[in-house]
Amino acid sequence: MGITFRRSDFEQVYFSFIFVNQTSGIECKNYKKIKVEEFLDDGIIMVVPTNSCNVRHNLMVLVFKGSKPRLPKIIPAEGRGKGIRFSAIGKVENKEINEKDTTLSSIKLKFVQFDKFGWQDFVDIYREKQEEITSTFIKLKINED
Amino acid sequence: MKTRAENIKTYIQNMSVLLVTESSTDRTAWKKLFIELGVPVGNFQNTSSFDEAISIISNNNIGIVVSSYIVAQMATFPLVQAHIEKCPDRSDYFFFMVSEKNSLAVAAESVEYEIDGLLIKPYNQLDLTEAVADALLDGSNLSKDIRQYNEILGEIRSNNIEQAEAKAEKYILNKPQSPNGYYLRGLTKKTAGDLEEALGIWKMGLNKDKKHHKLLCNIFDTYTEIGDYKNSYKYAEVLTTEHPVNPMRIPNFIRASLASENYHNLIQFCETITSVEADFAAINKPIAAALALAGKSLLYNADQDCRDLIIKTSRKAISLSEQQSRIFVASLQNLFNLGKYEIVEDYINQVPSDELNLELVGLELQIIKLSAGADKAFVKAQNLIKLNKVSPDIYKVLLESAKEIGKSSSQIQDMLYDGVKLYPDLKGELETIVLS
Repeated sequence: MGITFRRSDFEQVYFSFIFVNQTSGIECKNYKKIKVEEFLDDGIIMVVPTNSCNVRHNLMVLVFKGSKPRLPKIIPAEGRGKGIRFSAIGKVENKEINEKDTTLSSIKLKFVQFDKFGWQDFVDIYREKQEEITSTFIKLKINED
Repeated sequence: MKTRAENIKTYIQNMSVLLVTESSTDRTAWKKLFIELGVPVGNFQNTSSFDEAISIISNNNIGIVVSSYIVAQMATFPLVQAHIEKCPDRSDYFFFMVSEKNSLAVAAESVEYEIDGLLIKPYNQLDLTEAVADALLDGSNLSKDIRQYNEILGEIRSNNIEQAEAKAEKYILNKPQSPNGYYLRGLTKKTAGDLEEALGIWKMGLNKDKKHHKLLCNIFDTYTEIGDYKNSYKYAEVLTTEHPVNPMRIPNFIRASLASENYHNLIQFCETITSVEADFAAINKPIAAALALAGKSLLYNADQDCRDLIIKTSRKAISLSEQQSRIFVASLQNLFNLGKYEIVEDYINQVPSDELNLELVGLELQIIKLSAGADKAFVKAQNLIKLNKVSPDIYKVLLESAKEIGKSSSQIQDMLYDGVKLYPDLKGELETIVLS
C-alpha cells in the first residue's frame, strides 16, 4: 500500500486578478498587489494599489487561473481571450486607504457590465471548495452516532 | 417552536467575540455576520496584534474567536492553543479560522488544532454566514456523549489525569462500540507517560473503527516519538490512505519511509509536491524540510535514476525555505553532490557575500577548487582562516588544496595541527586527507 501523498491534498483554488482603469487608462497588471477580500452578488471588494483608481472610476477586472498566470501582453478590450476565466466592468463605489500601509486601499467595485451566470459560476468554485473543506472537517472530527 | 435563527441567537447572545485580523474589510464583514446571528454590538473585541490577541484570550471569557490564518506574517495556531488552554472543555467555545490557503492539507492541520471551522477567503457574506451558523447550531445541539467527551478531554488538558481516566473508563462502559472512549483513555496513559499502554488501548479503539483519525494520528506520533519507525510506517499507510495529510507530519512520514527503506514513497512525495503550483504559507517549512531530507536520501539510496527529480526537489525546497537556513544549505549540498555547481553558485550569489554563513562559504570554496583550481581555493581558504572564518569544510579544502599544489610536508603538518586543534572530532578525517 505505502504512504500516500495525493496531489489533491495540496491543491488550492486560486485565481489572480488584474484590472484596466478605463477612466484613467492605467493598467494594473501586478496581480500580487491585488487581493480579493469578498465576493458580492454584483461586485467585489478588493485591496488594490492606492494610486491605481478612485471613486467613480470604471474598471475592467480580469480573472486568471493560478497564482502565477501568463498574462497577455495587450489586454483585450472586450475582456475575453486565452486564460481569462471571467471579466466584468464595474464602477468604484467606495475607496478606503489602508491605515497601516497607505500604498494600498480597499475598494468596492459594483459591476455594471457582466455575465451574471458567469459570475455565479465563478463564485461557486469557492463555494464548492468551502463545502469540501467543511465535509473534511466533519469527517475528521469526533462523532458519536 | 423556535426557528433555526432563533436557536442560534439564544445560544450566542451572551457570548463575547474576538476578531483577530489585519484586514478592515474582514473585520467589518465578520462583525456584521455575528451581529446578524445575534451577538450584541457591545460584545466584540478586535485586534490586529498577535500578542494582544493572546492577552485578550487569557484575561477574558471569549466564547468565539475568529482569526485570519496569517496575522503579522505568522500562522495563528498559537491563538487556538491559548484559547484551548483558557477553555479546555470545548463545549460551547468556538474558534474559526479564515484562510486564503484552501487545501485539504491546511484543513487537516486545522482540525488537529481543534479549530471549529476553516472559512475560505474570498467569501461571500451569505456563504460565510451559513458556514458559521451551521457550526454554531451544531455546537448548541451537542449530544450528551460529545459533551462528556469534551469534558474528559478538558480534564486531561488540565492534567486531572486520575479523574479523566475514571471518566474515560465509564465512557467505554457506556459506549462499548465507540472508539472515542479508547482514544481518551489512551490519552490519559500517554499524558501519564505510559506510552506502551497508551498504544495498546488505542489499538483496541481501532478494532471499533480502523479508520479513526485521532487514533491513527496518535499511534503514528507515539511510535515516531519512541523511534519505532517500522511500526509508525504501518499506521502512516492507513492514515494517509484514508485521510488528507497534515503537512506538519510529513517530515516524520519521510523518516518512517527511510527507516523502512520505502524509497518509492520519497519519489512519490517529491513528484507530488514539485508538481503543485502553490505557496504553502505556514506549512512551507515542514514541506521544505521533508523535501531536503527526501532529496538527500534519494541521492544515496534510490534504485533508479532520480537525478532530475532530486534537482527539481532541491530547487523547490530552496524556494520554500529561508535563505541560509539549514534546509537551504542541505538542499544546496544535494545539488552540489549531483555536480550541479553552477546552480549552487547562482543560489549562493543571491546571498550578499558579507552575510554568507560558514556552511555556504565552505560550499563556495569547494566549488572554487573544482572550477578555478586548487591554487585559488588554497589562497581563499588561507584568507578566510586569517579572518577567523573557520569551519571543518574550509579546513578540508585547505588541506586538499595544499596537497594538490605541492606545499611542503611541514607546512601541511602545521595546517593539520591547527585544524585538529579546532576540530578534534575530525582528527581522523583530516589526517586521511593528508595521508592519502
